[in-house]
Amino acid sequence: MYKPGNPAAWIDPRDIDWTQSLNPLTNPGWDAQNNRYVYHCLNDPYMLALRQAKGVEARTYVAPDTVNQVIPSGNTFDYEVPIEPNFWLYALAASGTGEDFLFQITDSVSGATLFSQPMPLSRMPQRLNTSNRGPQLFLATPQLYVPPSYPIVRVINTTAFSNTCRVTLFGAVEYNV
Amino acid sequence: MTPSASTQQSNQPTYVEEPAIYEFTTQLSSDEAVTDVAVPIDRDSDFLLTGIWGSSSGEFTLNFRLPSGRQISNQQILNTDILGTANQPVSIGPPPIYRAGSVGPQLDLTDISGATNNITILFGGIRRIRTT
Repeated sequence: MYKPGNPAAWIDPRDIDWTQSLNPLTNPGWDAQNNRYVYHCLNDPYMLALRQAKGVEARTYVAPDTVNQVIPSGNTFDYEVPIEPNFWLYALAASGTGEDFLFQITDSVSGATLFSQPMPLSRMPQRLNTSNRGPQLFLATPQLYVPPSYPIVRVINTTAFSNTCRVTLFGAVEYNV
Repeated sequence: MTPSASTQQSNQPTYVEEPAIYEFTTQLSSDEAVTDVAVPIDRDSDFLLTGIWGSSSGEFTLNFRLPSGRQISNQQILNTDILGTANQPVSIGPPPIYRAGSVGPQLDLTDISGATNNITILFGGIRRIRTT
């Protein structure tokens, strides 16, 4: 395998920890030549620590809950994600019935928003004809939600029709397994 | 990992790690839901799950259990949100380790396509075989 950023340098595959699912070197689609953004996201110092941490377990959350995913035209819906304590959010995915919608993720305590303005579904990886790269939008550094903080997912249906709006949060919880 | 030459570790078990893919296929009828479907893990090796991908003839939702018995998601996830492609699997991290002979990532599946749905899910990762 060639060293990212320096094709002339060689990395012995035996030097790579293939057991780390979030190690960018284990996936050719994530190397610095192919996807520099994801490569640096996964090499963020906090992400490095999370990748190697003990007592953490993978967890995903889908927002909103199933019965509230169909949003009427022009409506906004806030969903308080029922996370377990100390949830590390590192990636997102979003989907719907094909029509665009906006979404935002807000910290319940600080009020900090992940995006400076609501994010359109059409700007997510799956909607950019990059489905061969997978649905996950990785964050530049993982976001930790320490109790009593939790994420609030706001979905806004801006279309003229009822629309299924769904945001999936990928992360890990601190859990002594 | 290169085994240490020290005598202190010579009594430690040694393992061989190799790539492995567990393929799960099923057919769901219209709006059918199934729960806790086993994906049996080989009895001679642990399985470290690093990514999943798959294909289907229609939309469906799924959830699966981690080795601890807890489900990975608070509710079922749309297939296109959790199943990547062979080129770019969706990473499950930190990677769960399913013990040899276990029932593996028990799947909950629900068809939402309204038609017969042929589903293939591939669990990619590393098989760890104890050699001593």
